[in-house]
Amino acid sequence: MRFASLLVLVGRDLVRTRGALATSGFGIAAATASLAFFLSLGLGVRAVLLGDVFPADRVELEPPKAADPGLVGLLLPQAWPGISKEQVESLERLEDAKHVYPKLRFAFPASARGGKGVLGRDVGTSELPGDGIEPSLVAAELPEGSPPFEDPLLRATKACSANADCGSDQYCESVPGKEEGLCCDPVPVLVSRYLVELFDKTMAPAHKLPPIGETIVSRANRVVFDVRLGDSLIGKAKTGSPRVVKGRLIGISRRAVDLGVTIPIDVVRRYNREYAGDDAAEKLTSVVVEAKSAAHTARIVAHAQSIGLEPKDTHARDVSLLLSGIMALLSLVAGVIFVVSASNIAHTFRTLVDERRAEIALYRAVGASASDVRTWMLSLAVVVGIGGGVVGLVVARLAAYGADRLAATELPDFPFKPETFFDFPAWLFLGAMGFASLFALLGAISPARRASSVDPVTVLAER
Amino acid sequence: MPSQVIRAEALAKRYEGEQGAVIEPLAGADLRVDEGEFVGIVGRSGSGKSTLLGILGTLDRRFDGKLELFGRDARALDDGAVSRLRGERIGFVFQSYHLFAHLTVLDNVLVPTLFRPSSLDLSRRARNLLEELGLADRMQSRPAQLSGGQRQRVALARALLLRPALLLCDEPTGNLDSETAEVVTSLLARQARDEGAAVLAVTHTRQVLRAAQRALKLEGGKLVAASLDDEAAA
Repeated sequence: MRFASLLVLVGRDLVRTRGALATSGFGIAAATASLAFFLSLGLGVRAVLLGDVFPADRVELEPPKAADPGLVGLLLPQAWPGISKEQVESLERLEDAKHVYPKLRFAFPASARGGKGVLGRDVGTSELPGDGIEPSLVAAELPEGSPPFEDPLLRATKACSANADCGSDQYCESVPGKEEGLCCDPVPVLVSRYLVELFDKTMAPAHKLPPIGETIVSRANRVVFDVRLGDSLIGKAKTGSPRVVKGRLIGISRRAVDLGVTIPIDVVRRYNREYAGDDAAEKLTSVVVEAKSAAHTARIVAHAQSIGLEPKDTHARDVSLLLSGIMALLSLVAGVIFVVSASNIAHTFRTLVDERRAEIALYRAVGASASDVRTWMLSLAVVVGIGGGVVGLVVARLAAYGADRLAATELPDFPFKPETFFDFPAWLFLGAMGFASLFALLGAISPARRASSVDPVTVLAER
Repeated sequence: MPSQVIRAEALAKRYEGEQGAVIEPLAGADLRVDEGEFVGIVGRSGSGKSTLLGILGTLDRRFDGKLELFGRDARALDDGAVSRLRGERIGFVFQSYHLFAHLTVLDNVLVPTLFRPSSLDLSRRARNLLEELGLADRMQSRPAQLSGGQRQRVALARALLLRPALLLCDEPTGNLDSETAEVVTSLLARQARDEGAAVLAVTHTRQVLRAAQRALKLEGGKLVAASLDDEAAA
């Protein structure tokens, strides 16, 4: 049968039987709307959780926990296995890995105080965890005009013996093996978005401080604070003398440690050597492996375990599993609605075929083959499915828009609160339309066979 | 020499009726019809006339015997091929018209074009046929708005639209007054004479038998020659 003829037949049916077909399409629309809404919600939440909160496309690897000295290790230096150069190279050779970034944690106690420029008064922390990372890791993330993320000692030239010898924005940094120090810019510091969110949503309200999230980029360079090295609430480092250096907050980074500060790895290496010895300066505490995509992460972890490293946390995997489970459950609900709507279509089409046996017989008499009749019925079902699918997708989109509006106005602010909780990728639209058509088609198979087996002789003789 | 349109040999059909009784409307019927020939068939009610038309028109394919249509073995063709053959070369006219109630007169006539492989526009021919049959002003009417005679003329126009080489008519004048029956009968005769179609009309009326070149009677499942007097017996 020609396509134009098929359009004529289906078009006439849509006009004649619009009530019954609309009822059938309603079921498909409800199922499509449920599927699209739930899947897009799952995808949207997954994007926030796995993109910002627990990035799934990168994994931080470290030696087994049993070997981790923890906080006590800061005070009681002991053999720290660290990550060897060979292990790093082995990870770099992996095809699944995009980049491997070494990290070196503070191996000494530290505390910090400052922030008056932004907060109006100085605030402090009695413990300051810190990570050192390669500058190349964050080079692309830094806003234009921000100070370079590198060891400030590299560009220091002016000798000094005290902070008073330097400009107001500088401090006198001691130089290993020399009596005189060098006037140095504050150490560039990055923080994580998680820390900023935590501060803005939890600490700032508790201490009646202004949030820093929105101003941190434009005004971050004003946030200069003091870092006391080798001394914290827990105790002092066993080697080296506690001293104060300056840090300058230069921005937020996805690569920054969640809780603590992130500074150039060469600076940490220098500090670790001073307060924890050469071993702590050379052996990496962890490496961050950025996978080509989230799908590659599992293979990277498997390889890391084979060379004696473990993922630092499994949040991403746990969250991913949980979300997959919830999405599967909600999709199952949508699937059940699809099945119900398919049976509704089957019932409608069966009634339609029974009512039109004489017409079908007459079509057979004027040249329609059994295959033509089947094609006609199935095409009608697909059109109903597509119509229901389109309506369902529009409803899902509107419902998502409404939910987002409601969340924006009614839900209180919380860390990582997204602008939208939904993600509607193109494949979701296509997939939902595919399901809508498929289930409409499945529902119509039996009636279509029934229609194609109408015996024209018997039926035409009945009238 | 006119070519053979129908060649049926020993056509037989039997089925189980109510209470298990075996019914055998056809029991070795032979029939040959050439192009341009108008054949009238009479027979008592239930004698198998409609069954015969169903088989000759390829609507019923469960029968015994041999059937050649246009020189092709009808039983050897698959459903697609036989449907094409039916759509392109065979026209049906039914006693109860069988029009589509939701379509206009014009659309009813054009229904056979839906299943043609080519997209030839036959609306002009459909209009001409309807004008010829006196329905020029009823093209946009629905069948329910027409009289019985008008409906039968619409059905006839639909059957003639694709210029069928074989026209099978089941009581074409059964529900018509004598004046309209005369119009329809003469149209069928003209179709055979002028267009070269083989016309096979099952009938109970002397009018149609008179117009036919040959009359056959279905009796005991077989076709035998009939005369005008057989009409009364039918």
